[in-house]
Amino acid sequence: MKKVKNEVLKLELKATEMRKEILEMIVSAKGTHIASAFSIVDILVYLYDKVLNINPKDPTTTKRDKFVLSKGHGCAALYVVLADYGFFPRRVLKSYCSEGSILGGHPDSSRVPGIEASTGSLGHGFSVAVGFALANKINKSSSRVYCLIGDGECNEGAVWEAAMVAAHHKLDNLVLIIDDNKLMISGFAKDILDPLSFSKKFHAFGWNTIEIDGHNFNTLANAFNKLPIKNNRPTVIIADTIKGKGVTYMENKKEWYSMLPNGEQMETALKELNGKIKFLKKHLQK
Amino acid sequence: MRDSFINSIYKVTKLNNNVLCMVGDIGAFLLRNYIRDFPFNYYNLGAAEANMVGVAAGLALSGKIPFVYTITPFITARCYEQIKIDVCYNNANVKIVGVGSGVSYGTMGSTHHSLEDIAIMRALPNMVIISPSDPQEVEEAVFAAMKYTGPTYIRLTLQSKPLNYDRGNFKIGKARIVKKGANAAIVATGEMVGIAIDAAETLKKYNINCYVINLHTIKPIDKALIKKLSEECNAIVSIEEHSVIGGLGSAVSSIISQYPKNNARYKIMGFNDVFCKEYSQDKLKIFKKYGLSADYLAKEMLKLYNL
Repeated sequence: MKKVKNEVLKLELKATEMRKEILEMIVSAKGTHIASAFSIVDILVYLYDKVLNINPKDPTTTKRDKFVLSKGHGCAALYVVLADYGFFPRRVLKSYCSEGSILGGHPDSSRVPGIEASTGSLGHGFSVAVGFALANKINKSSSRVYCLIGDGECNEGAVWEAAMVAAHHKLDNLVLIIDDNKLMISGFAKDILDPLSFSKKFHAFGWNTIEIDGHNFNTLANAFNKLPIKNNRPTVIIADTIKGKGVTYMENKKEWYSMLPNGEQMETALKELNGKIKFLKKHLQK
Repeated sequence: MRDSFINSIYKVTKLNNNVLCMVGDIGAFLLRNYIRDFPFNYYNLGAAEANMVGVAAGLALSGKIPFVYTITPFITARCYEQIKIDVCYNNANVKIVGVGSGVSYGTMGSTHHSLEDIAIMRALPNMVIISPSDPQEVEEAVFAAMKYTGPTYIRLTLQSKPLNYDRGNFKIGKARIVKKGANAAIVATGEMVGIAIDAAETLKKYNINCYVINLHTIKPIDKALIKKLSEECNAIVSIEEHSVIGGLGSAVSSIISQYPKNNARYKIMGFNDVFCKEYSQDKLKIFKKYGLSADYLAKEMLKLYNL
């Protein structure tokens, strides 16, 4: 039990340290999308730490699992995760969004090791992931494909075209994760284009559906450990998340889609993250 | 051209099992032998072209060679952003095949026409554009596309007559000289090559010995030949089943207008920034309504030549 608890604490510590790194990286580059990145950090940490069968030293080996970040604007989180797992040197993160860097505001597959598909325009990565999964089926490969999309991204019609094709072709090697943070650029998703129930929608499209807390490593473990729930069906994990998670004043505020903290706000954010890091380290030592 | 594509995709799949034929709910009858013999290479992804192009990119990035095939406007303009990002930005080895290009669906109206596809595809980095002129060239294009690694757009019409000339080997980016000439040149693509041959025949009566050039590859275009023609000729006319904006004419124009040794006056013939509002089973009648025929072409060349 203690071992499991320690494992969760380690992941929480890693995710919190990464939030700090993401924040510093974006602020230093005067970039954007802090809150979008914070909402997916825990999912990414769990995927790269526990789920994906990948080798950073050989990122293009044919037998790998593939991960596609369809919501490309969350890529600051993915860059930090990829660097942490050794896809490229950590020092590359310092060049984020600056001249000569391979790391831009949206990920470029031709330049960044570990990025499987260039994304940024919403509703594209999911279709490409369906193509990856279909290729694995054709090649009789047991590798899986994971794709992370935003709840707002599900406004895009192509998402539902891809959902139909994945179910029709029985892609049980495909796992879609919806970062359901309920906020879009201009406000709450329910006030812009109400998604109603993702679970009912995907179920009606022929998918297995799982609903979890996207910031809780126990529920993430439960969800990913029982895949596929039913053979012959793709699975969607609907992750209940909080945009801006980890810095209280940013949480659930649409303004933080693109805002950058001022000096005082930065201090507050770092204090909160450092406090949590200290707390987690203390409990880990016990 | 359509039948030739159906035969060619069969042949290339037989040669290379990585070839896939993906369709957006068309061609089931014509492709019946393909479906029977290559059931695991055939995918009908439904009337959802945007997703089909994205899926094709994923397959291509996994080592497959998908040919995605449906009516031209639906596999170009409708899913342009998927072609831009999923295919070209990822440099995925996807073959986009548009059938019934230009005004081939003569009775179907502008929804089924494509008079802007070359323009939009030309603007995409990494994209190769092949516009065959007859059934044999369709087969050559399909084989060349299979062997070439990278995004490729093959622009097909429907029915077209075989052209008879000493054509030599097909090479992407290398134009074919259908007829040699002096002082004047008609450069054409697709079915307009046939019309250009007829116009050159007419021009003989006026003592104009006119080159006829088949620019089957619009990107990368055969710059060397176009430059040579612009030095040698007084007059060049381009003709295409496409808008005069952004197509073959624009591609040729951008070369000769920037070439200091250019001697040629130049005229672009095509659909003059209009939707085609005519209905006919006979495409030549539609062409004529829009000023596109061997006679009109010969007249334009005469005017330009004698300026």
